[in-house]
Amino acid sequence: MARDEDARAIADSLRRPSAFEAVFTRHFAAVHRYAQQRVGVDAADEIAAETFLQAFDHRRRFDTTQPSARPWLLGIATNLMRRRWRDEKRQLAAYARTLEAAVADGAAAETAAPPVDGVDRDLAAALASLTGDDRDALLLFVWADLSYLEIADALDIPVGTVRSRISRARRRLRERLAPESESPAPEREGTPRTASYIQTALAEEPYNG
Amino acid sequence: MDDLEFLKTHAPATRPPHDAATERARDALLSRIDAEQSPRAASAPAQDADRSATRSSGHHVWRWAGVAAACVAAAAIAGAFLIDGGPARPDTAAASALHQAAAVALKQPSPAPLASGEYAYTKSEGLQLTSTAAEGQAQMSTHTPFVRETWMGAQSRLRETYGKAEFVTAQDRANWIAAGKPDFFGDPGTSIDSLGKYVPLDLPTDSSALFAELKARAAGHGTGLYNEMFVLVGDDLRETATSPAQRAALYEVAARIPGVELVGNVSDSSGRPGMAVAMTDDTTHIRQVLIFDPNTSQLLAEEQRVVAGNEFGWPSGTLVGRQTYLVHAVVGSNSEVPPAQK
Repeated sequence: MARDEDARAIADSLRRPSAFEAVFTRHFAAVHRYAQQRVGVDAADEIAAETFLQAFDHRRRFDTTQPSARPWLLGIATNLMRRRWRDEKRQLAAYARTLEAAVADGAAAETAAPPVDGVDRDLAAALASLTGDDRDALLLFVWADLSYLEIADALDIPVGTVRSRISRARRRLRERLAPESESPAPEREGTPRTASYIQTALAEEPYNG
Repeated sequence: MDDLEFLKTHAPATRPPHDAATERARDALLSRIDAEQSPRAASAPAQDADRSATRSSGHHVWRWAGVAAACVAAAAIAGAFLIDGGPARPDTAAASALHQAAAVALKQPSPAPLASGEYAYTKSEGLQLTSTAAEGQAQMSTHTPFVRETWMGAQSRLRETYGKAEFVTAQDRANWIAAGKPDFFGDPGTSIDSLGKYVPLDLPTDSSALFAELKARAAGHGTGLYNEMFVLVGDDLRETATSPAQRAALYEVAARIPGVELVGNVSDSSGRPGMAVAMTDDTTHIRQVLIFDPNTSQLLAEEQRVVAGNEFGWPSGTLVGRQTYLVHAVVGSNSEVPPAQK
Protein backbone atom coordinates (compact mmCIF):
# COMPACT_ATOMS: atom_id res chain seq x y z
CA MET A 1 0.00 0.00 0.00
CA ALA A 2 1.34 3.41 -0.90
CA ARG A 3 2.25 5.37 2.18
CA ASP A 4 -0.47 7.96 1.88
CA GLU A 5 -3.26 5.96 0.27
CA ASP A 6 -5.51 6.31 3.30
CA ALA A 7 -4.90 10.03 3.56
CA ARG A 8 -5.59 10.47 -0.12
CA ALA A 9 -8.75 8.37 0.00
CA ILE A 10 -10.06 10.24 3.03
CA ALA A 11 -9.19 13.61 1.52
CA ASP A 12 -10.88 12.56 -1.71
CA SER A 13 -13.94 11.40 0.20
CA LEU A 14 -14.59 14.96 1.33
CA ARG A 15 -15.64 15.78 -2.18
CA ARG A 16 -16.36 12.25 -3.42
CA PRO A 17 -17.76 10.33 -0.44
CA SER A 18 -17.59 6.99 -2.23
CA ALA A 19 -13.78 7.18 -2.08
CA PHE A 20 -14.10 6.23 1.57
CA GLU A 21 -15.03 2.68 0.62
CA ALA A 22 -11.37 2.01 -0.13
CA VAL A 23 -10.58 2.61 3.54
CA PHE A 24 -13.22 0.04 4.46
CA THR A 25 -11.79 -2.47 2.00
CA ARG A 26 -8.27 -2.03 3.35
CA HIS A 27 -8.97 -2.10 7.07
CA PHE A 28 -12.26 -3.83 7.87
CA ALA A 29 -10.65 -7.21 8.54
CA ALA A 30 -8.01 -5.71 10.84
CA VAL A 31 -10.56 -3.75 12.85
CA HIS A 32 -12.80 -6.81 13.05
CA ARG A 33 -9.89 -8.99 14.20
CA TYR A 34 -8.98 -6.64 17.01
CA ALA A 35 -12.60 -6.22 18.09
CA GLN A 36 -13.01 -9.97 17.99
CA GLN A 37 -10.06 -10.40 20.35
CA ARG A 38 -11.55 -7.89 22.73
CA VAL A 39 -15.30 -8.54 22.68
CA GLY A 40 -15.91 -11.74 20.74
CA VAL A 41 -17.01 -12.37 17.22
CA ASP A 42 -20.68 -11.40 17.51
CA ALA A 43 -20.02 -8.04 19.08
CA ALA A 44 -17.09 -7.57 16.70
CA ASP A 45 -19.47 -7.61 13.74
CA GLU A 46 -21.32 -4.66 15.24
CA ILE A 47 -18.24 -2.84 16.50
CA ALA A 48 -16.39 -3.09 13.20
CA ALA A 49 -19.41 -1.94 11.20
CA GLU A 50 -20.08 0.98 13.54
CA THR A 51 -16.40 1.93 13.50
CA PHE A 52 -16.53 2.65 9.78
CA LEU A 53 -19.79 4.57 10.04
CA GLN A 54 -18.31 6.80 12.73
CA ALA A 55 -15.05 7.10 10.82
CA PHE A 56 -16.94 8.21 7.74
CA ASP A 57 -19.02 10.71 9.70
CA HIS A 58 -15.94 12.16 11.36
CA ARG A 59 -13.42 11.73 8.56
CA ARG A 60 -12.60 15.42 8.56
CA ARG A 61 -10.93 14.85 11.88
CA PHE A 62 -8.47 12.38 10.41
CA ASP A 63 -4.94 13.71 10.51
CA THR A 64 -3.89 13.38 6.89
CA THR A 65 -0.23 13.48 7.85
CA GLN A 66 -0.65 9.99 9.28
CA PRO A 67 0.56 7.28 6.90
CA SER A 68 -2.22 4.83 7.77
CA ALA A 69 -5.79 5.11 9.01
CA ARG A 70 -5.50 1.88 10.98
CA PRO A 71 -4.53 3.46 14.33
CA TRP A 72 -7.31 6.02 13.96
CA LEU A 73 -9.84 3.29 13.17
CA LEU A 74 -8.67 1.13 16.03
CA GLY A 75 -9.01 4.15 18.31
CA ILE A 76 -12.63 4.57 17.23
CA ALA A 77 -13.23 0.86 17.75
CA THR A 78 -11.63 1.09 21.19
CA ASN A 79 -13.96 3.91 22.16
CA LEU A 80 -16.94 1.91 20.95
CA MET A 81 -15.83 -1.12 22.92
CA ARG A 82 -15.76 0.90 26.10
CA ARG A 83 -19.53 0.76 25.94
CA ARG A 84 -19.36 -3.01 25.66
CA TRP A 85 -17.72 -3.92 28.93
CA ARG A 86 -20.20 -6.76 29.46
CA ASP A 87 -19.14 -8.27 26.14
CA GLU A 88 -15.50 -7.84 26.99
CA LYS A 89 -15.96 -9.53 30.34
CA ARG A 90 -17.73 -12.38 28.61
CA GLN A 91 -14.94 -12.64 26.08
CA LEU A 92 -12.29 -12.60 28.78
CA ALA A 93 -14.14 -15.35 30.61
CA ALA A 94 -14.33 -17.37 27.41
CA TYR A 95 -10.67 -16.68 26.85
CA ALA A 96 -9.94 -17.91 30.34
CA ARG A 97 -11.90 -21.09 29.71
CA THR A 98 -9.97 -21.66 26.51
CA LEU A 99 -6.74 -21.35 28.39
CA GLU A 100 -8.03 -23.62 31.14
CA ALA A 101 -8.91 -26.21 28.53
CA ALA A 102 -5.53 -25.83 26.97
CA VAL A 103 -3.89 -26.51 30.31
CA ALA A 104 -6.16 -29.44 30.97
CA ASP A 105 -5.49 -30.95 27.56
CA GLY A 106 -1.83 -30.15 27.65
CA ALA A 107 -2.19 -28.71 24.18
CA ALA A 108 -2.33 -25.30 22.63
CA ALA A 109 -6.02 -25.60 21.79
CA GLU A 110 -7.00 -22.42 19.94
CA THR A 111 -4.19 -20.25 21.20
CA ALA A 112 -1.25 -19.45 19.04
CA ALA A 113 1.31 -20.88 21.45
CA PRO A 114 1.54 -23.73 23.95
CA PRO A 115 0.16 -22.89 27.37
CA VAL A 116 2.42 -22.33 30.31
CA ASP A 117 0.96 -24.23 33.19
CA GLY A 118 0.00 -22.06 36.13
CA VAL A 119 0.51 -18.81 34.27
CA ASP A 120 -1.67 -18.63 31.19
CA ARG A 121 -4.87 -19.73 32.91
CA ASP A 122 -4.77 -16.56 34.95
CA LEU A 123 -3.80 -14.34 32.10
CA ALA A 124 -7.36 -13.43 31.27
CA ALA A 125 -8.08 -12.59 34.88
CA ALA A 126 -4.96 -10.50 35.07
CA LEU A 127 -6.01 -8.60 31.97
CA ALA A 128 -9.46 -8.10 33.38
CA SER A 129 -7.97 -6.68 36.55
CA LEU A 130 -6.40 -3.79 34.68
CA THR A 131 -8.16 -0.49 34.37
CA GLY A 132 -9.83 -0.05 31.01
CA ASP A 133 -7.44 2.70 29.99
CA ASP A 134 -4.39 0.62 30.83
CA ARG A 135 -5.81 -2.44 29.10
CA ASP A 136 -6.62 -0.42 25.95
CA ALA A 137 -3.06 0.82 25.68
CA LEU A 138 -1.51 -2.57 26.41
CA LEU A 139 -3.70 -4.54 24.00
CA LEU A 140 -3.34 -2.03 21.19
CA PHE A 141 0.38 -2.60 21.64
CA VAL A 142 0.49 -6.39 21.87
CA TRP A 143 -2.56 -7.55 19.93
CA ALA A 144 -3.03 -4.75 17.38
CA ASP A 145 0.73 -4.24 16.92
CA LEU A 146 0.53 -0.47 17.13
CA SER A 147 3.58 1.53 18.11
CA TYR A 148 3.53 3.90 21.08
CA LEU A 149 3.13 6.81 18.70
CA GLU A 150 0.26 5.12 16.90
CA ILE A 151 -1.46 4.34 20.19
CA ALA A 152 -1.09 7.97 21.19
CA ASP A 153 -2.77 8.92 17.93
CA ALA A 154 -5.46 6.25 18.28
CA LEU A 155 -6.40 7.21 21.82
CA ASP A 156 -5.63 10.91 21.38
CA ILE A 157 -3.33 11.00 24.39
CA PRO A 158 0.31 12.05 24.76
CA VAL A 159 2.87 9.40 23.98
CA GLY A 160 4.24 9.73 27.50
CA THR A 161 0.84 8.71 28.82
CA VAL A 162 0.91 5.66 26.55
CA ARG A 163 4.28 4.71 27.95
CA SER A 164 3.13 5.09 31.55
CA ARG A 165 -0.11 3.19 30.95
CA ILE A 166 1.65 0.26 29.34
CA SER A 167 4.31 0.28 32.03
CA ARG A 168 1.65 0.29 34.75
CA ALA A 169 -0.29 -2.48 33.00
CA ARG A 170 2.80 -4.65 32.69
CA ARG A 171 3.65 -4.14 36.33
CA ARG A 172 0.14 -5.16 37.38
CA LEU A 173 0.21 -8.16 35.09
CA ARG A 174 3.47 -9.35 36.56
CA GLU A 175 2.11 -8.86 40.07
CA ARG A 176 -0.98 -10.87 39.23
CA LEU A 177 0.77 -13.61 37.37
CA ALA A 178 3.87 -14.13 39.48
CA PRO A 179 2.18 -15.71 42.54
CA GLU A 180 0.20 -18.08 40.30
CA SER A 181 3.26 -19.17 38.43
CA GLU A 182 4.67 -20.34 41.72
CA SER A 183 1.50 -22.14 42.77
CA PRO A 184 1.03 -25.91 42.50
CA ALA A 185 -1.04 -27.70 39.90
CA PRO A 186 -4.04 -25.83 38.46
CA GLU A 187 -7.54 -26.59 39.59
CA ARG A 188 -9.18 -29.09 37.27
CA GLU A 189 -12.66 -29.42 38.70
CA GLY A 190 -15.62 -27.18 39.29
CA THR A 191 -15.88 -23.65 38.02
CA PRO A 192 -12.54 -22.54 36.65
CA ARG A 193 -11.08 -20.16 39.14
CA THR A 194 -10.05 -17.75 36.44
CA ALA A 195 -13.52 -17.35 35.04
CA SER A 196 -15.13 -16.95 38.44
CA TYR A 197 -12.50 -14.44 39.39
CA ILE A 198 -13.46 -12.30 36.46
CA GLN A 199 -17.12 -12.48 37.31
CA THR A 200 -16.71 -11.55 40.94
CA ALA A 201 -13.82 -9.15 40.90
CA LEU A 202 -14.76 -6.97 37.97
CA ALA A 203 -18.38 -6.11 38.22
CA GLU A 204 -17.79 -2.41 37.83
CA GLU A 205 -17.07 -0.43 34.70
CA PRO A 206 -13.30 -0.01 34.84
CA TYR A 207 -12.75 2.88 32.47
CA ASN A 208 -11.75 6.26 33.66
CA GLY A 209 -14.03 8.80 32.18
CA MET B 1 9.51 -15.31 27.53
CA ASP B 2 8.66 -11.88 28.90
CA ASP B 3 5.14 -10.73 29.63
CA LEU B 4 4.66 -8.88 26.36
CA GLU B 5 5.84 -11.79 24.27
CA PHE B 6 3.63 -14.04 26.33
CA LEU B 7 0.61 -11.84 25.63
CA LYS B 8 1.38 -11.73 21.94
CA THR B 9 1.75 -15.48 21.58
CA HIS B 10 -1.35 -16.13 23.67
CA ALA B 11 -3.65 -13.73 21.86
CA PRO B 12 -7.21 -15.05 21.53
CA ALA B 13 -7.77 -17.04 18.37
CA THR B 14 -9.70 -15.19 15.69
CA ARG B 15 -11.21 -16.00 12.37
CA PRO B 16 -11.84 -13.75 9.39
CA PRO B 17 -15.20 -11.97 9.46
CA HIS B 18 -17.97 -13.85 7.70
CA ASP B 19 -18.68 -12.58 4.21
CA ALA B 20 -22.24 -11.80 5.27
CA ALA B 21 -21.02 -9.63 8.16
CA THR B 22 -18.58 -7.85 5.89
CA GLU B 23 -21.24 -7.17 3.30
CA ARG B 24 -23.71 -5.95 5.92
CA ALA B 25 -21.11 -3.54 7.21
CA ARG B 26 -20.20 -2.43 3.69
CA ASP B 27 -23.86 -1.91 2.80
CA ALA B 28 -24.38 0.17 5.93
CA LEU B 29 -21.40 2.32 4.98
CA LEU B 30 -22.53 2.68 1.38
CA SER B 31 -25.97 3.75 2.57
CA ARG B 32 -24.34 6.40 4.72
CA ILE B 33 -22.21 7.47 1.76
CA ASP B 34 -25.25 7.66 -0.48
CA ALA B 35 -27.06 9.77 2.07
CA GLU B 36 -24.19 12.22 2.21
CA GLN B 37 -23.96 12.44 -1.54
CA SER B 38 -27.18 14.34 -1.45
CA PRO B 39 -26.56 17.92 -2.50
CA ARG B 40 -27.61 19.34 0.85
CA ALA B 41 -24.78 17.49 2.51
CA ALA B 42 -22.42 17.78 -0.41
CA SER B 43 -22.41 21.52 -0.24
CA ALA B 44 -20.83 21.24 3.18
CA PRO B 45 -17.29 19.89 2.63
CA ALA B 46 -15.59 23.22 2.28
CA GLN B 47 -17.40 24.67 5.25
CA ASP B 48 -16.66 21.64 7.37
CA ALA B 49 -13.06 21.61 6.27
CA ASP B 50 -12.87 25.19 7.42
CA ARG B 51 -14.15 24.26 10.85
CA SER B 52 -11.97 21.23 11.25
CA ALA B 53 -8.49 22.18 10.22
CA THR B 54 -6.16 19.24 10.45
CA ARG B 55 -4.67 18.92 13.86
CA SER B 56 -1.04 18.95 12.90
CA SER B 57 -0.76 21.72 10.42
CA GLY B 58 -3.51 24.17 11.24
CA HIS B 59 -4.60 24.70 7.70
CA HIS B 60 -7.49 23.51 5.66
CA VAL B 61 -7.66 22.09 2.20
CA TRP B 62 -10.51 21.33 -0.07
CA ARG B 63 -10.13 19.59 -3.33
CA TRP B 64 -12.39 18.98 -6.25
CA ALA B 65 -11.96 16.47 -9.01
CA GLY B 66 -13.74 15.63 -12.19
CA VAL B 67 -15.77 12.72 -10.95
CA ALA B 68 -16.17 14.14 -7.50
CA ALA B 69 -17.49 17.42 -8.61
CA ALA B 70 -20.18 15.59 -10.49
CA CYS B 71 -21.42 14.37 -7.15
CA VAL B 72 -21.09 17.78 -5.62
CA ALA B 73 -22.69 19.60 -8.49
CA ALA B 74 -26.18 18.65 -7.54
CA ALA B 75 -28.39 21.27 -6.06
CA ALA B 76 -31.38 23.33 -6.85
CA ILE B 77 -31.20 25.10 -10.12
CA ALA B 78 -34.89 25.33 -9.71
CA GLY B 79 -37.02 25.61 -6.67
CA ALA B 80 -39.87 23.45 -5.57
CA PHE B 81 -42.04 24.84 -8.33
CA LEU B 82 -39.96 22.89 -10.80
CA ILE B 83 -40.30 19.69 -8.87
CA ASP B 84 -44.01 20.29 -8.88
CA GLY B 85 -44.04 20.59 -12.63
CA GLY B 86 -43.79 24.36 -12.80
CA PRO B 87 -43.01 26.53 -15.75
CA ALA B 88 -39.46 25.44 -16.59
CA ARG B 89 -39.13 23.07 -19.52
CA PRO B 90 -36.20 21.21 -21.05
CA ASP B 91 -34.18 23.27 -23.46
CA THR B 92 -35.42 22.39 -26.93
CA ALA B 93 -32.02 22.46 -28.59
CA ALA B 94 -30.50 20.33 -25.84
CA ALA B 95 -33.38 17.88 -26.03
CA SER B 96 -32.94 17.59 -29.77
CA ALA B 97 -29.21 16.82 -29.45
CA LEU B 98 -29.89 14.28 -26.72
CA HIS B 99 -32.65 12.57 -28.72
CA GLN B 100 -30.13 12.29 -31.54
CA ALA B 101 -27.52 10.80 -29.18
CA ALA B 102 -30.09 8.26 -28.04
CA ALA B 103 -30.86 7.31 -31.63
CA VAL B 104 -27.17 6.85 -32.35
CA ALA B 105 -26.75 4.74 -29.23
CA LEU B 106 -29.45 2.34 -30.33
CA LYS B 107 -27.56 1.68 -33.55
CA GLN B 108 -24.40 0.62 -31.75
CA PRO B 109 -23.53 -3.08 -31.41
CA SER B 110 -23.98 -4.61 -28.00
CA PRO B 111 -20.66 -5.54 -26.43
CA ALA B 112 -20.19 -9.19 -25.46
CA PRO B 113 -20.57 -9.83 -21.73
CA LEU B 114 -17.30 -10.09 -19.85
CA ALA B 115 -16.01 -13.66 -19.76
CA SER B 116 -14.68 -15.11 -16.54
CA GLY B 117 -11.43 -13.38 -15.65
CA GLU B 118 -11.98 -10.50 -18.05
CA TYR B 119 -12.10 -6.86 -17.03
CA ALA B 120 -13.48 -3.70 -18.60
CA TYR B 121 -10.54 -1.31 -18.67
CA THR B 122 -11.02 2.46 -18.83
CA LYS B 123 -8.30 5.06 -18.91
CA SER B 124 -8.95 8.73 -18.42
CA GLU B 125 -6.92 11.81 -17.75
CA GLY B 126 -7.95 14.98 -16.06
CA LEU B 127 -7.26 17.92 -13.88
CA GLN B 128 -8.50 18.74 -10.42
CA LEU B 129 -8.58 21.99 -8.55
CA THR B 130 -7.19 22.21 -5.05
CA SER B 131 -7.69 25.29 -2.92
CA THR B 132 -5.92 25.85 0.34
CA ALA B 133 -5.83 28.61 2.86
CA ALA B 134 -3.54 28.87 5.85
CA GLU B 135 -5.09 30.38 8.93
CA GLY B 136 -5.41 34.11 8.37
CA GLN B 137 -3.88 33.91 4.91
CA ALA B 138 -5.29 34.40 1.43
CA GLN B 139 -6.48 31.38 -0.52
CA MET B 140 -4.24 29.73 -3.06
CA SER B 141 -5.35 27.30 -5.76
CA THR B 142 -3.62 24.75 -7.91
CA HIS B 143 -4.53 22.41 -10.71
CA THR B 144 -3.23 18.87 -10.36
CA PRO B 145 -3.18 16.59 -13.40
CA PHE B 146 -4.06 12.94 -12.97
CA VAL B 147 -4.39 9.76 -14.94
CA ARG B 148 -7.05 7.34 -13.80
CA GLU B 149 -7.34 3.69 -14.82
CA THR B 150 -10.09 1.33 -13.76
CA TRP B 151 -10.42 -2.41 -14.23
CA MET B 152 -14.05 -3.42 -13.62
CA GLY B 153 -14.77 -7.10 -13.07
CA ALA B 154 -14.65 -9.72 -10.34
CA GLN B 155 -11.92 -7.93 -8.41
CA SER B 156 -12.14 -4.40 -9.67
CA ARG B 157 -9.19 -2.15 -9.29
CA LEU B 158 -8.36 1.54 -9.54
CA ARG B 159 -4.99 3.15 -10.21
CA GLU B 160 -4.58 6.90 -10.06
CA THR B 161 -1.39 8.76 -10.83
CA TYR B 162 -1.16 12.37 -9.77
CA GLY B 163 1.25 14.80 -11.37
CA LYS B 164 2.80 18.04 -10.23
CA ALA B 165 0.41 20.74 -9.10
CA GLU B 166 0.53 24.10 -10.87
CA PHE B 167 -0.80 27.38 -9.52
CA VAL B 168 -3.96 28.47 -11.27
CA THR B 169 -3.00 32.15 -11.40
CA ALA B 170 0.00 34.30 -10.62
CA GLN B 171 -1.95 35.65 -7.66
CA ASP B 172 -2.25 32.14 -6.23
CA ARG B 173 1.51 31.80 -6.41
CA ALA B 174 1.96 35.21 -4.79
CA ASN B 175 -0.39 34.19 -1.99
CA TRP B 176 1.60 31.01 -1.47
CA ILE B 177 4.85 32.96 -1.22
CA ALA B 178 3.25 35.42 1.21
CA ALA B 179 2.12 32.46 3.36
CA GLY B 180 5.72 31.24 3.64
CA LYS B 181 5.61 28.64 0.86
CA PRO B 182 3.80 25.97 2.88
CA ASP B 183 3.97 22.41 1.63
CA PHE B 184 0.23 22.03 1.12
CA PHE B 185 -0.14 20.35 -2.19
CA GLY B 186 1.31 16.88 -1.90
CA ASP B 187 3.79 15.08 -4.06
CA PRO B 188 3.20 13.40 -7.39
CA GLY B 189 2.53 9.71 -6.94
CA THR B 190 0.41 6.71 -7.70
CA SER B 191 -2.27 5.11 -5.57
CA ILE B 192 -3.96 1.78 -6.11
CA ASP B 193 -7.29 0.81 -4.61
CA SER B 194 -9.42 -2.27 -4.67
CA LEU B 195 -12.96 -1.56 -5.81
CA GLY B 196 -14.52 -4.95 -5.09
CA LYS B 197 -16.74 -6.86 -7.46
CA TYR B 198 -18.29 -4.86 -10.27
CA VAL B 199 -22.01 -5.40 -10.63
CA PRO B 200 -23.35 -4.27 -14.02
CA LEU B 201 -25.96 -1.56 -13.83
CA ASP B 202 -29.49 -2.84 -13.74
CA LEU B 203 -31.13 0.01 -15.59
CA PRO B 204 -34.42 -0.17 -17.47
CA THR B 205 -34.10 0.49 -21.17
CA ASP B 206 -37.52 2.12 -21.34
CA SER B 207 -36.84 5.83 -20.96
CA SER B 208 -40.05 6.54 -19.03
CA ALA B 209 -39.29 3.76 -16.58
CA LEU B 210 -35.72 5.00 -16.27
CA PHE B 211 -36.88 8.57 -15.75
CA ALA B 212 -39.14 7.37 -12.93
CA GLU B 213 -36.32 5.33 -11.43
CA LEU B 214 -33.79 8.15 -11.51
CA LYS B 215 -36.38 10.55 -10.15
CA ALA B 216 -37.02 8.17 -7.26
CA ARG B 217 -33.29 7.80 -6.62
CA ALA B 218 -32.82 11.55 -6.71
CA ALA B 219 -35.83 12.42 -4.58
CA GLY B 220 -34.90 13.59 -1.13
CA HIS B 221 -31.29 13.98 -2.08
CA GLY B 222 -29.98 17.45 -2.27
CA THR B 223 -31.61 20.71 -2.94
CA GLY B 224 -32.61 20.14 -6.52
CA LEU B 225 -34.30 17.10 -7.94
CA TYR B 226 -33.33 17.78 -11.54
CA ASN B 227 -29.74 18.61 -10.85
CA GLU B 228 -29.48 15.39 -8.94
CA MET B 229 -31.02 13.50 -11.84
CA PHE B 230 -28.48 15.04 -14.22
CA VAL B 231 -25.72 13.91 -11.88
CA LEU B 232 -27.16 10.41 -11.85
CA VAL B 233 -27.19 10.34 -15.65
CA GLY B 234 -23.50 11.26 -15.61
CA ASP B 235 -22.77 8.66 -12.94
CA ASP B 236 -24.40 5.95 -15.03
CA LEU B 237 -22.55 6.92 -18.20
CA ARG B 238 -19.03 7.09 -16.82
CA GLU B 239 -16.84 4.04 -16.31
CA THR B 240 -19.78 1.72 -16.59
CA ALA B 241 -20.69 -1.03 -19.01
CA THR B 242 -24.04 0.36 -20.08
CA SER B 243 -25.61 -1.37 -23.03
CA PRO B 244 -26.50 0.75 -26.08
CA ALA B 245 -30.18 0.53 -25.09
CA GLN B 246 -29.45 1.69 -21.55
CA ARG B 247 -27.29 4.51 -22.87
CA ALA B 248 -30.07 5.56 -25.20
CA ALA B 249 -32.52 5.62 -22.30
CA LEU B 250 -30.10 7.73 -20.25
CA TYR B 251 -29.88 10.32 -23.03
CA GLU B 252 -33.66 10.33 -23.36
CA VAL B 253 -33.94 10.98 -19.65
CA ALA B 254 -31.44 13.85 -19.91
CA ALA B 255 -33.53 15.29 -22.72
CA ARG B 256 -36.46 15.57 -20.33
CA ILE B 257 -34.62 17.21 -17.45
CA PRO B 258 -35.50 20.89 -17.06
CA GLY B 259 -32.42 23.08 -16.87
CA VAL B 260 -30.23 21.03 -19.20
CA GLU B 261 -28.92 23.31 -21.92
CA LEU B 262 -27.08 22.76 -25.17
CA VAL B 263 -23.49 23.93 -25.29
CA GLY B 264 -23.00 22.71 -28.84
CA ASN B 265 -20.04 21.39 -30.78
CA VAL B 266 -16.83 21.36 -28.75
CA SER B 267 -13.51 19.53 -28.63
CA ASP B 268 -12.44 17.61 -25.58
CA SER B 269 -8.99 18.02 -24.03
CA SER B 270 -7.55 15.41 -26.40
CA GLY B 271 -8.92 17.25 -29.42
CA ARG B 272 -11.78 14.91 -30.24
CA PRO B 273 -14.94 16.60 -31.50
CA GLY B 274 -18.02 16.16 -29.38
CA MET B 275 -21.43 17.48 -28.53
CA ALA B 276 -21.83 19.10 -25.13
CA VAL B 277 -24.77 19.65 -22.82
CA ALA B 278 -24.61 21.31 -19.42
CA MET B 279 -26.48 22.10 -16.26
CA THR B 280 -25.65 24.81 -13.74
CA ASP B 281 -26.01 24.30 -10.05
CA ASP B 282 -27.33 27.48 -8.53
CA THR B 283 -26.23 26.50 -5.04
CA THR B 284 -22.59 25.66 -5.67
CA HIS B 285 -22.42 27.88 -8.75
CA ILE B 286 -20.72 25.15 -10.70
CA ARG B 287 -21.62 24.26 -14.23
CA GLN B 288 -21.37 20.59 -15.12
CA VAL B 289 -20.71 19.78 -18.78
CA LEU B 290 -21.03 16.36 -20.40
CA ILE B 291 -19.41 15.84 -23.78
CA PHE B 292 -20.41 12.86 -25.86
CA ASP B 293 -19.38 11.51 -29.22
CA PRO B 294 -22.20 12.25 -31.69
CA ASN B 295 -21.10 9.28 -33.80
CA THR B 296 -21.06 6.63 -31.09
CA SER B 297 -22.93 8.23 -28.17
CA GLN B 298 -20.06 7.33 -25.81
CA LEU B 299 -19.23 9.79 -23.06
CA LEU B 300 -16.00 11.46 -24.15
CA ALA B 301 -15.38 13.86 -21.33
CA GLU B 302 -16.88 15.99 -18.60
CA GLU B 303 -15.83 19.15 -16.90
CA GLN B 304 -16.93 21.50 -14.17
CA ARG B 305 -16.38 25.23 -14.11
CA VAL B 306 -17.49 27.79 -11.60
CA VAL B 307 -19.85 30.55 -12.53
CA ALA B 308 -20.13 33.94 -10.89
CA GLY B 309 -21.21 34.06 -7.29
CA ASN B 310 -19.49 30.96 -6.00
CA GLU B 311 -18.73 31.02 -2.30
CA PHE B 312 -15.08 30.12 -2.79
CA GLY B 313 -14.19 33.33 -4.53
CA TRP B 314 -12.92 31.64 -7.64
CA PRO B 315 -13.10 33.76 -10.79
CA SER B 316 -15.97 32.84 -13.05
CA GLY B 317 -14.81 30.24 -15.55
CA THR B 318 -12.23 28.67 -13.28
CA LEU B 319 -11.88 25.01 -14.13
CA VAL B 320 -12.87 22.98 -11.09
CA GLY B 321 -12.22 19.65 -12.70
CA ARG B 322 -12.25 17.78 -15.93
CA GLN B 323 -11.93 14.17 -16.95
CA THR B 324 -11.46 12.86 -20.46
CA TYR B 325 -12.12 9.19 -21.18
CA LEU B 326 -9.44 8.04 -23.53
CA VAL B 327 -9.47 4.25 -23.68
CA HIS B 328 -12.10 1.56 -23.25
CA ALA B 329 -10.99 -2.05 -23.71
CA VAL B 330 -11.56 -5.56 -22.43
CA VAL B 331 -8.45 -7.09 -20.87
CA GLY B 332 -7.58 -10.44 -19.35
CA SER B 333 -6.73 -9.40 -15.81
CA ASN B 334 -7.11 -6.54 -13.36
CA SER B 335 -3.56 -5.40 -13.99
CA GLU B 336 -3.33 -5.80 -17.76
CA VAL B 337 -3.05 -2.66 -19.82
CA PRO B 338 -4.08 -2.70 -23.51
CA PRO B 339 -0.95 -2.91 -25.66
CA ALA B 340 -1.20 0.58 -27.07
CA GLN B 341 -1.27 2.01 -23.55
CA LYS B 342 1.92 0.45 -22.21
